Amino acid sequence: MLFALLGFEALAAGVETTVVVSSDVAIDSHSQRADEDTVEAYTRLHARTRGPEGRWFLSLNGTHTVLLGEDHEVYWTLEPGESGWNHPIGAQQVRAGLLVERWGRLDLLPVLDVLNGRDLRQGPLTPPERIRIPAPMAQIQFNSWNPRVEVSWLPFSSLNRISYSGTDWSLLQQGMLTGLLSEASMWEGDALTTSTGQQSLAAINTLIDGALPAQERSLNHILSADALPANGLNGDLAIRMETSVQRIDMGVVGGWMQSRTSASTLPSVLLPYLQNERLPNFDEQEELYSAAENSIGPIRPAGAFAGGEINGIVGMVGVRAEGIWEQRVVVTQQWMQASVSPRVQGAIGLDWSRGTNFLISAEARWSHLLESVPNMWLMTSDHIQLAATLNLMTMSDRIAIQTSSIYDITFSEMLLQPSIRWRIDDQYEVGIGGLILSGASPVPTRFLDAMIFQGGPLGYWSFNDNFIVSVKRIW
Amino acid sequence: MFLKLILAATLTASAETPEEIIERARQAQSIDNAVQQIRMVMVSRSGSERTRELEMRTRRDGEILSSYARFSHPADVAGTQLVMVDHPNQVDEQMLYLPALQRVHRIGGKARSGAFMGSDFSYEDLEVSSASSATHTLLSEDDTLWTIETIPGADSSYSRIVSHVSKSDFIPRKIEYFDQRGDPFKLLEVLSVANDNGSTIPTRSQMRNLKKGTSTILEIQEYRLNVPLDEIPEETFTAAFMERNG
Repeated sequence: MLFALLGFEALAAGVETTVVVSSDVAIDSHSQRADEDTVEAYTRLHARTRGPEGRWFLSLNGTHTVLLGEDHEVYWTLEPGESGWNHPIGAQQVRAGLLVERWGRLDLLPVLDVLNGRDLRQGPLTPPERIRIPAPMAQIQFNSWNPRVEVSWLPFSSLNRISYSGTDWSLLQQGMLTGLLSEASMWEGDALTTSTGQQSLAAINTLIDGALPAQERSLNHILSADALPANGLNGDLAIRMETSVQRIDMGVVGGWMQSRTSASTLPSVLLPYLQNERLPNFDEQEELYSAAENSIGPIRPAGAFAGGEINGIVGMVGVRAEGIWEQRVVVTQQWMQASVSPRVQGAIGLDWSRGTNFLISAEARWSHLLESVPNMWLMTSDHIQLAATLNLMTMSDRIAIQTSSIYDITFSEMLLQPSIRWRIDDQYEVGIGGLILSGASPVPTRFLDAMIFQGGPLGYWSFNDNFIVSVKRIW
Repeated sequence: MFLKLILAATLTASAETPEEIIERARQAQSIDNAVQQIRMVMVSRSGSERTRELEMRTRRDGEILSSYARFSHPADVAGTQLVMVDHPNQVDEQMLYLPALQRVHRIGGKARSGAFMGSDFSYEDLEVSSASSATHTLLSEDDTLWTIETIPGADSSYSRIVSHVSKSDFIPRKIEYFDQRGDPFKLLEVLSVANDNGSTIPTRSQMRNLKKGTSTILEIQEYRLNVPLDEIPEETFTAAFMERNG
């Protein structure tokens, strides 16, 4: 459909069609885990067509992925991007379709940008314009009112995409599951279970170890099973009011929504065996088998939220501030457990720019869980992060130098992502860059170590230092 | 000044003082409501060219002139939008929407001296009004042109601006910009104009950066003047509109 429209561009006045294909090859500078990928190559297609006055818009996102490591894997995906219909009805505006609605103006450490789920499957290698996942949404905007009011309804909610297994950015990285089975096949139970248990686990390990990477990746589908309520009330409803006074933009939001995180949890009956590295005894097996019927229970709470933002210019400095209260957020815990807590978050950003050719920005975010949760994993009750961005465009925007960095004060972790790009002409752009991650806690290589990891997200994936080469073709 | 030039209209009354000439030039540049398709060609020192295309809409509400620009080509800048709201005797209000970040960014202070989308125009050059703190001096005049020196306010990146304003239509035909050290910095020239129902439209203009050796050519490919207001509603000049049209 989209490409048919591309062909009609010349015939349809006011129709705008754009196509960009970019290829990013990330080369791991040094191996810190035995099974990690040494090369990740992502070729991304973004094709978009937009009708006169933006009345309708269609886009398509494709990704061709090549992962080279101990196992080689090549696959591609093709899915609709932001696509929909946008029409005035009197002084009001109605939008419907697969939409992206961004709230707040913090870039690296957002807190109010909660409406669309996020694609976290490729970690920081995901381009910013691909992070927000377009969601089925209908909006009505009352533009003639002051403050302007916008009501958004997401009938099927929206969910973060995370990789559970099989890549360098998975929660369980390559080899962790088979490593666990290999170790477990040497654990001991009682006299009746040790031998058969060890043999069974060794057989399962052989089976999984011989599986194709794509089969291992299919574990994601099992673990990322959604947990929307069965009563059909699966949607989100949100309202936003905004106004500008003396060049200061203000907005408040509120509503009810399903959590964007669905945490798969292991049944607690399994935990003593994993924690004590032993097989179940004969008299424990019945309870274990019955628990296996609901082996992976996803947690995805729904709750209210309310927040606000204020943005403006003070002197020569742009100031952005936002905050949110969320009634029920998922809190991940050690040993693949999860709980729920209310949370407040606040963030502030300062920036100084010179047109579009120079921008320096600093952001800070504080998160606080309002209820105590024990044994948190990749999270903590109070979390403080700092971020900075530098963008420099020179030689008539032919050379772009960009550096993004995040410093996690709470976990003493860091991300640094510099790049330099050269726009050769109107069609081609090439670039090189890097991704540097570091953390205070050692990178876990075993499943059992990963389950009790003490650090934060940047440290957990800190083995993924990469050198990146990019090519972009623009139509 | 880019905006000044593409919003030109003919006024034939005479003026005596430099302040009056500049005010008449400002009025000449403020056509009420227009939609224009613009091609921007950026030429490097080596002569290689890059092209950008945009649509610009302008609307006048009393003394307030609002402008909205949206880039449509090339693909990686398509969706980039700029809103400028010109308040008389105030620094203009400017907002920029970048599709990669999917957010609106307010431009203020020194940000206005930065290059507009890689071109040789700065955001300051796009403004219509001169700040009230600017002073104007008539340097010379002949049969066709007034030559006026403007000392802009402290907020400007220029130390002085010399405008060569046509006596026939109050449209500047050449503008010289000087940096803070007083050295020649940029030169804007109107290369061709068109007449439309008594209005003079500069259809091709060139801004040259004399220090870098680069230049930017602006061509108005299509234009419609005095379009109905409901085609350019007030909402066009808001952050919400920009976010919806990225």
